[in-house]
Amino acid sequence: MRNPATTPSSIIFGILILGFLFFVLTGLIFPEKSDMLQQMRAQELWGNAFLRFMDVFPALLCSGAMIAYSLFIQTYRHPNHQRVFKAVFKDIISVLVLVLLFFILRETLEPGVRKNLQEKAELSRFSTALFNESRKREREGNLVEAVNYMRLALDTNRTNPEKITEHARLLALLDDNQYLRYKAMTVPIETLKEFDTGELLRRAQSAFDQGNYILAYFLGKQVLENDSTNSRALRITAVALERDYRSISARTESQAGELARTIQAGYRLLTDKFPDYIRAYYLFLDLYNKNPNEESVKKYLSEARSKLPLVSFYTQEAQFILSFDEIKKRNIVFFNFQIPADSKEPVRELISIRELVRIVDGVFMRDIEVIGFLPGNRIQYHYNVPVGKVIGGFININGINPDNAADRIKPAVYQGTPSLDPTAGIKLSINPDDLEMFAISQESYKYENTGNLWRLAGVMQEHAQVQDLITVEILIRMLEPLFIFAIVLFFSILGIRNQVTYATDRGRVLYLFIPLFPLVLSVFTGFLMYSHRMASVFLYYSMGPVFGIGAAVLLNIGLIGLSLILYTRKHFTS
Amino acid sequence: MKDTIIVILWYCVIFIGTVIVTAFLFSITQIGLNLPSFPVIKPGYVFAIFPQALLQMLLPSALFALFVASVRMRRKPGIRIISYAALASLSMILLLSGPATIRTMINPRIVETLQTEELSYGLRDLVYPNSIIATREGSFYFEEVKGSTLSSVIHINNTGNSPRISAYRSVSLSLAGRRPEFFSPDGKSAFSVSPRSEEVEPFKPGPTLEGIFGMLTPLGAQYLTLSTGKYEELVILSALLVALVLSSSVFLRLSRWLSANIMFMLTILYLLLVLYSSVALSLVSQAREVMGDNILLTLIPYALLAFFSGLFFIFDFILFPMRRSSLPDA
Repeated sequence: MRNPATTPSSIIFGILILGFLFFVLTGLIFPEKSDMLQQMRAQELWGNAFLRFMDVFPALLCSGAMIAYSLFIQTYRHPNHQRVFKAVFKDIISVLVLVLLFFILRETLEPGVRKNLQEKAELSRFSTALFNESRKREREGNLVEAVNYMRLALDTNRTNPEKITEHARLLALLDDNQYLRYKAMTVPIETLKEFDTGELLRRAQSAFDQGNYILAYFLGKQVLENDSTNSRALRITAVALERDYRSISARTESQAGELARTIQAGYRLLTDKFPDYIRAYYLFLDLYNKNPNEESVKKYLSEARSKLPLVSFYTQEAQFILSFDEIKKRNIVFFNFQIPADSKEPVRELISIRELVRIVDGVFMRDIEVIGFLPGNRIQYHYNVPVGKVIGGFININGINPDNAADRIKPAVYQGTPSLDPTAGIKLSINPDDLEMFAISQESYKYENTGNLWRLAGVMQEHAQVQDLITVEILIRMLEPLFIFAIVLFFSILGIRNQVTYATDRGRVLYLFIPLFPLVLSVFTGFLMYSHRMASVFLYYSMGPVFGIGAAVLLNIGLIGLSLILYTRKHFTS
Repeated sequence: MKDTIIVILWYCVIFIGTVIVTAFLFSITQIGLNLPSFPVIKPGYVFAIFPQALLQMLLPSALFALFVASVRMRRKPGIRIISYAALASLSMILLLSGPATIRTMINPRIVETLQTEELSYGLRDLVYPNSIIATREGSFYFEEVKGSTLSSVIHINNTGNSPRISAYRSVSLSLAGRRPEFFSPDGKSAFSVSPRSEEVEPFKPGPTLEGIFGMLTPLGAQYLTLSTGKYEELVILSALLVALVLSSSVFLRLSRWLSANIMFMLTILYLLLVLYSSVALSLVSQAREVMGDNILLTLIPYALLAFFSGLFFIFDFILFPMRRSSLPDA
């Protein structure tokens, strides 16, 4: 049998695999459910196991090295120095490859997995808060809001059976008027076949039996949106429409004429070269309230409503989302450049946003203050908007109330005339995905890989302290593999020093203690890695970027050199 | 005898090395974690913080050195009884006289200087023109600085109501008050800034490391509190900790695989210290709230340490007396 001592790296590799399996197993036995409503998914299990594995990767490498050399070092007590040299060379290459593997994993997979799981956990907390809020509204007797909050909770995870059931249960509790109000409040979302079809069909039939043909038609149509071949829904909508048509045709000619003219005006707003969906929506909403049976009004109202998310957002919804403490809120400041339509001179805007949150369907913000400067630092305008949402490449400030056309957000202007796109709001000269990076306080960069950090360093060039933080983070990431290499060598030396003979008297039983090695060494390596991190920070900030980075690199190379010398010496003298 | 002397030297060298290295790391960690208060770092700050760091690191360093020396002693004990006595006495001297000695090194003037440095935050950030600079209240920005006058200045104050942004053609800086204050040309106070107080998230130790070392924090805090007055209790605590480390070296006899023995001993020591630090101390403080101050309650955690130390000593010396050949040679 080949002695594993010829390749201690095989033991290190074995320890790595065992470590990963350990985390997968513990994940299976003690699943981490961040959300009581959330199902544990395979993706999260693997993700969590992978992250924990990455956290203890250096400790596993070190303990592997220590175990390997503690147990099997006697192979190197070979008189042939050439053979020893060869073995040492092989060891070093193997450890280098494993450290490189760590570096590659941490720069490619880890940031993505960490970010993904972090976002999921945050979303779960938010979703649970929405769920609880919905329950609270239901207890207070406000069913329409309860179902709306449940819809938002469902939006964060559309496959969660608990939320689907609750949403359906609440929908079934609504009376017909409440149902219509709820529908008017919501931005159309993908309806769910699992509950909607049967429930809505029952409601449609009930409305039809009571002679409320328009409601029967409306509900039947909802069913057809899900299932266009549903014969019962087809029959209800067709007969309801035919019966209702009679009542429409009974109207006076003058009413019909005025209605037709208004519909035409609304139609033009929708189909114009520069369509105004918000005005069109309110116009058709008004028409619908006056003529609830008019099919074309309903059709255009529905069309206008479906376009609303492109140009606006619901103020109440944004305020509601921003009011939750469960989502991380960021405070951001950045410069934005634009050329207003009425001016040839470029305007440099300083935008300060007091609170910004990102959830599944968008980035919402509160208290947006903008000050615009012309060249020479002349103030062109200064205004404030209470709430906004990122839509496309804009901070959209068209917050609307879907029930009340008069309740719309208007900027508070302190000076000048704001440069705003009438349909879209504040045009951003930066990538909207980078917005969150402008959060100056307490920002964590561990969710980005080094490549992205380089890019962000460019984006953040106007943020003095943050750019320094990013640069020092890049420095630490680049140096850590060198440091891990040095500490693996260090623990190998300890292993060599504390060697025992291959066949110990009671040694076999002691294999049971092998799990202690990663456990204890994870404390040591964690402490060493953290010290290395803080030493790099100290060198960077005390000696300046150039000398600080140089000193940090030299320190690491020195450590590796020292470890290598001791390592080879121990091999010879063992 | 030679081995006994080597063990004592070993202890001294390890202690001095550990306490210097850990205190240095503690100092730079404190600076790194409070970067917003020190936007520009001077190496001299380490020396200013160093005595306080020494005080914090005294107990862990002394125990760690004792642990390493006890490993050495097990392998080459010399005259065993003298080695034990010497290690115990040295540790006791360090733990009892160390805090008082270090406290005389803490120079109030240095601490004061450091605080003044923090106050001149405004001046130090003048190396960042054309950049958005974060402050505790919000942010500020300027384009140029001449003497104590800044031109094209924007100040964002997130603590107040809107409008939060103020723009100034120029402001002059004054450091007369407790915080850097900026005045507009007509002499009116425009705004003042404070350094950010939050810790920098990327430099926090992380939950695992904080959890592991955090469990022992109550023990460190108790030691430092006792060292300021309750000398009788300090003697008891120090003696029991020294006895625990020395007695737990019995686990080094577990097998001929020294690395595994060391790992086992470290784990047992950590668990016992956590039991004392995070369980016994907190239970006693809860009981004290109900039963009032009671000498018995004070003694219970010490009894716990004494029990385990005694148990290990009995195993080591009475039940299974050590033979010289039971440990591997180096």
